Amino acid sequence: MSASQQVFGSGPSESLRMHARWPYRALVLPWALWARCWARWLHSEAAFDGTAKLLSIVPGRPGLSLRAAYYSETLAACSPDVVIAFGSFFSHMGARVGRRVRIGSYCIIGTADIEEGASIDNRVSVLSGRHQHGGGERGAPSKEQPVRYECVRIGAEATIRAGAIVMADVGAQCVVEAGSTVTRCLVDGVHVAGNPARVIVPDFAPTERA
Amino acid sequence: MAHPPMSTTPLSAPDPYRGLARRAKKLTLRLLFVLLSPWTLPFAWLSRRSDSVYTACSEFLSLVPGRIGQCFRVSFYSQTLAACPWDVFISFGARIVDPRTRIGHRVNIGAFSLLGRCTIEDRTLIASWVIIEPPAERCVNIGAGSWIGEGAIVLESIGSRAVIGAGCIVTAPVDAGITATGNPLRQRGVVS
Repeated sequence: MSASQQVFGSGPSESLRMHARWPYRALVLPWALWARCWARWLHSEAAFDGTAKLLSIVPGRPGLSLRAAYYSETLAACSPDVVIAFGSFFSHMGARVGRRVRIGSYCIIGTADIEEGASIDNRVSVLSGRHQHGGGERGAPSKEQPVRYECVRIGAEATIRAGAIVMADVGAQCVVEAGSTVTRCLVDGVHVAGNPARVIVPDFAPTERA
Repeated sequence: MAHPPMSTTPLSAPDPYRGLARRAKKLTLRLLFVLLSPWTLPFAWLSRRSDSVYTACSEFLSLVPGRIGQCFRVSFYSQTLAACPWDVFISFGARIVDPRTRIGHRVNIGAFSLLGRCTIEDRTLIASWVIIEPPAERCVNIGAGSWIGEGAIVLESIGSRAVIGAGCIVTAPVDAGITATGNPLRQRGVVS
């Protein structure tokens, strides 16, 4: 089942689920505080990274709740109603996540700005821009290269299908086909596919077609 | 839509502490490697006798999160692989499938990568979800200082300081210093 098809609202009511978040928040709070302290005073994301990966392999509904709680406490901005499936993790604390975002299994997400209602399928990678390691001399050890993380924007209501790799901005309501690689910024409402991604439908607006 | 500047605090560390922090980090990693090595030794000893034990151990260790997991993986692989120094970085979910693999100094292997039989030379940077899987019983060579992008599938050798873009499938050998991107793979430029 892909993230966009997941039926989350079949159980208890919205307000009950809001209150059901508290135990999970309490569970992750020490880890979140620890991660934030490391980031603040030691300038290291090691603590954040370790816990993110630990929580990524917690199975089932508790896993979903724990990940949502952890990221809403640690990321630069994250709505607590985000759905992050098994195996997915954020690799940097600078990411922003809007409301109603759904992220599928085994995604790796860098410094992205995911806007409201975007849906990301299984095994998608959102990199921290196109120049993550490209600053220094070729062949130099990775630790000695100037690292540059750029913010990659995933527009509102955009759909990114399974296995895509996104390293540039994706506009609102865009559809990125399965397995494609986005290397250039996309305007709003286009449908792209391929590696490098090319526009296949220039004016694709899923809400109007439905 | 305008975006506020990203708060990338971990990267803007104050300069006077940068070198000291790096040395401290290196020392910590080295210390952890020495401390954790005895724990992986029995598993490595068993793995050297049976391929199924090796597979089971490497699969389990790939799921250990954090810096501890990274140190466990490196100490296990340094005891089982043909060559694997202590300063290699093997990320979460990454697995080296074939114990005949040789890894050079300061190699970085990203999350969920799967490495078949290959020789990885020094300072190579391998991103996440990369698969190195030589067809038949061959050994591919990944040159020194090359970079392999996210989700690439490598079936052939790559020269030193070559750059392979994200999501590429390498079906023919790539020469040294070449940047290759796209699917099918196209050469974009050469660095002398």
